Amino acid sequence: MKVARLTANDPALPDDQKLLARIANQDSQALDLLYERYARVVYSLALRMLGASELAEDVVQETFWRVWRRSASFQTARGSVAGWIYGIAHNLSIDELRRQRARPTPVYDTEASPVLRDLVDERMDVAGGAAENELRRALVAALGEIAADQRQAIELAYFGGLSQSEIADRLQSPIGTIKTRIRSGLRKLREVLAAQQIGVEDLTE
Amino acid sequence: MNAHPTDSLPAFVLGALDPAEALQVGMHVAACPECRAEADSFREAIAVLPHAAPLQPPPPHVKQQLFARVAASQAAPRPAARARARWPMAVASGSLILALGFGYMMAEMRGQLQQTQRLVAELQGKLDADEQIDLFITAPQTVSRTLASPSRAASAVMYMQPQSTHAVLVIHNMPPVGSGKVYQFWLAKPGVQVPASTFDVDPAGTVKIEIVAPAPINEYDQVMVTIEQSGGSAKPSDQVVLSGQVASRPRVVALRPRAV
Repeated sequence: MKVARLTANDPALPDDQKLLARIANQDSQALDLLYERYARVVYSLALRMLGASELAEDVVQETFWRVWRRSASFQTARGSVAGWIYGIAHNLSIDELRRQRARPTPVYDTEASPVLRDLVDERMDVAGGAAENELRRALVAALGEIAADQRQAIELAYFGGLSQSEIADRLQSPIGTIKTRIRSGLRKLREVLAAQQIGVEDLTE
Repeated sequence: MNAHPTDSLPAFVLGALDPAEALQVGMHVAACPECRAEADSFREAIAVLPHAAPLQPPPPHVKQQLFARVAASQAAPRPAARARARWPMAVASGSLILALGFGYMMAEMRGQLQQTQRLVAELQGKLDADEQIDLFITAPQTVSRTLASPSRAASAVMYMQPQSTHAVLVIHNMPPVGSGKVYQFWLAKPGVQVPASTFDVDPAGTVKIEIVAPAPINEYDQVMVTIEQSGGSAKPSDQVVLSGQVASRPRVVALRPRAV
């Protein structure tokens, strides 16, 4: 299935890499455009990982601050701008999770309502435009092709910020099993996304 | 180079490797184009995962604060602007040398080119070091210890990993130490006081440095930062500006400032 592309690739709008080049030249209007494009997903990711809106707001501000200061270090050949921005936000959120873990508080206590499994199990109907829903459905379908135990391991690592050995402890499974699930699960994800021609840039408004 | 850590790459990009393995794989990936391409392809795949989280917009004040910060940074002089200001000098010296002869000019240009390449390499090295430090701070099992600043408003956090001899110290709001002096970091356990890195903060009062100790950091009881004469000391002075416990529960206080 090839999914219709959304506005990130609209020729009327400057593409992400052009925006980054303008940001490197201190053009704050370009940062504004990039913020409008990605802040929602960054906030949603951080909120999902950290569970507290103030912390997620800090992650959004710090992520785009780093985009502002470090736009010159982005390497075109190594991937999309979206992936780079989400990577920064993900690292900052993991950093915060580990800071919390140094204190005796539960870390990933949203396990009862896991986001990746929910997506697949409930075929969740999300607010947003029809095209966005279509793309999200495509993502849900892609995730649905990954075995449930592999999805769970990826979820605990990605959204929970847990290491493989911490996941093994949490699930009381042998570490070798967890390593295999993560490896097989990500390979499957990559394969399914390639087969359905879905990339992060298609998912962005 | 060792065998390719192909099987560890998915966990590496997820940040799910334990610190020792993450460092090993990270070093390999940095040097191996094949594994880097493989890691990048997994990174692109996991970039779709944030879209699985329920979508919610951030409140408007986040954007307002961000752009206030951006505007403030644009108003302040930037290091890059100072670097550019040196170029007219270089051009002037270039034209003077042109008058002396073509050969000299070529030599001068080569020199400038080498200088530029050195500068680029230096900046690249600094960027890599910053990224290494960020990787360390966000690595699995990294824990933080807050250092108290008795009489100052400075905030300081030390990041460390069990069994690692490396730590990262991040300080904000500390006044520059002043001429002829230097800040020095110390580690202590009963009967031992180990002098470590000397440093100063940037004009904004911030510094992020790597500390390397002769033994794993968690084998020490206490750390502190003192003011010393330039070049550092073998014994700490009594000007303690930051101090903290290494163990999560305080143990024996081992650091005693030298009596003056």
